[in-house]
Amino acid sequence: MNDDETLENPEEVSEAADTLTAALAAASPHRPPPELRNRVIRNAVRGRRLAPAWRYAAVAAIAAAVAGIVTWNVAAAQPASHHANSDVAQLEATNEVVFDVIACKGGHVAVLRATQEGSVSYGKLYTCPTSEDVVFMSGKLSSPPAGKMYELWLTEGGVTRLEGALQVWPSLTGSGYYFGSITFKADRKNPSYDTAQLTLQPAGTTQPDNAILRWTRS
Amino acid sequence: MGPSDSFIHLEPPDEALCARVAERDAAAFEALYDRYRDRVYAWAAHVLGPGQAEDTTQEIFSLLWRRAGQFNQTRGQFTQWFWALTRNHILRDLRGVSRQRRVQAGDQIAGLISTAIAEGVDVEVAAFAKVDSGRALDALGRLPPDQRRVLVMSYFPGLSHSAIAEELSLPLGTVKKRARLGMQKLRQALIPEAISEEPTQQKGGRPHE
Repeated sequence: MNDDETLENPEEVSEAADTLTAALAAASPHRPPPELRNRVIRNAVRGRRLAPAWRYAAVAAIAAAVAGIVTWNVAAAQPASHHANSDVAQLEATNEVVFDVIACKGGHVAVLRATQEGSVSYGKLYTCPTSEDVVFMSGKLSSPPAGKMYELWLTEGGVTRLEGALQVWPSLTGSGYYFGSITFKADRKNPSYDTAQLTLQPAGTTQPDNAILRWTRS
Repeated sequence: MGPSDSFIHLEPPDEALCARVAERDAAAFEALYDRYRDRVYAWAAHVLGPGQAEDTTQEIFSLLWRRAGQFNQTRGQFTQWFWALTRNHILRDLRGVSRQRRVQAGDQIAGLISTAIAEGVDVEVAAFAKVDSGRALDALGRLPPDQRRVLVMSYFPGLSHSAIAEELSLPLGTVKKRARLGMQKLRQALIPEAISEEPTQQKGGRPHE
């Protein structure tokens, strides 16, 4: 046995490790503070130290094609139209928003169902009681025909407005479907909507038409 | 601890979670954090100091996130890989820390574990800690204190057997023997059949070497 090694057999070390660490945790008065959890997860998932290639991989992590997300600032009423893949920093920031909202404690998820029989498309709208950020993701979408966009329309207090157009990407699963998503800021934390619709229509339309997915508060 | 809860099979298994982390699954990463945060933090707090425990815990889990793809299930369990990663990181941070301080840390940990074995701990606090800690304390409680002390001092603060021998004023051969016997008894204690067949044969009453 080498004097500089604590134990000769790596397997023995591992056996001792699991037992010793569990015993120490039980015996020790030291406990990680609850707030450390968010910090650890945020920093790891955001991947501050990742090499460039990994950073792109990380972007695709939280949801299959979060890389397609465009941040939409409703307050400014101007869509950010740049492609996320060209800006890793933007992707990471968006990734973090998506993660925070989806993992938000006490958050609400509205599931949008297909309006047409036989369609397998669906969508999920995530809101959070502690954040203005809203995340919408939609899966199993058909390829949008030329000249048309998938648009998210939300109704609140009788007023329906366009929240933005989804950025869509071919599904990473190779299914032939498309995945779309968008994040935006509401005008307050924990926004509540009456209806959510995803339409497929030409850009510039002022009213929702041809909703392919819909959710209505029951 | 009865035989029925001597060993726990967590679902999903660590290995499956690690594979998902390699695919950048944040939920799987959270699950692994929740399973092992207390152990990593306690280890760091005792050998590096409470003030450094948070940063070290964060760094170790960041390593897990980044290196999950390197874990190869065919070469062993997740815990083998993860504890090796954790230990390497903590011992790296311990470079430059005096041997005296490392001995103190090892002695403190050994004392805490011995107290927990003798007095018990509130293992009802958390469901996961309940089973895992109970198993660990039971297994370590089967070791003579001298053998347990050598294992603790060599493992957590990374003291070599030579250093332990000097600090304890013991021949190097004695320290090596204690480590070897301690590991053998620990291995026996972790066999489910051994526990179920000898549920009461544990603390005290055995020769130390």
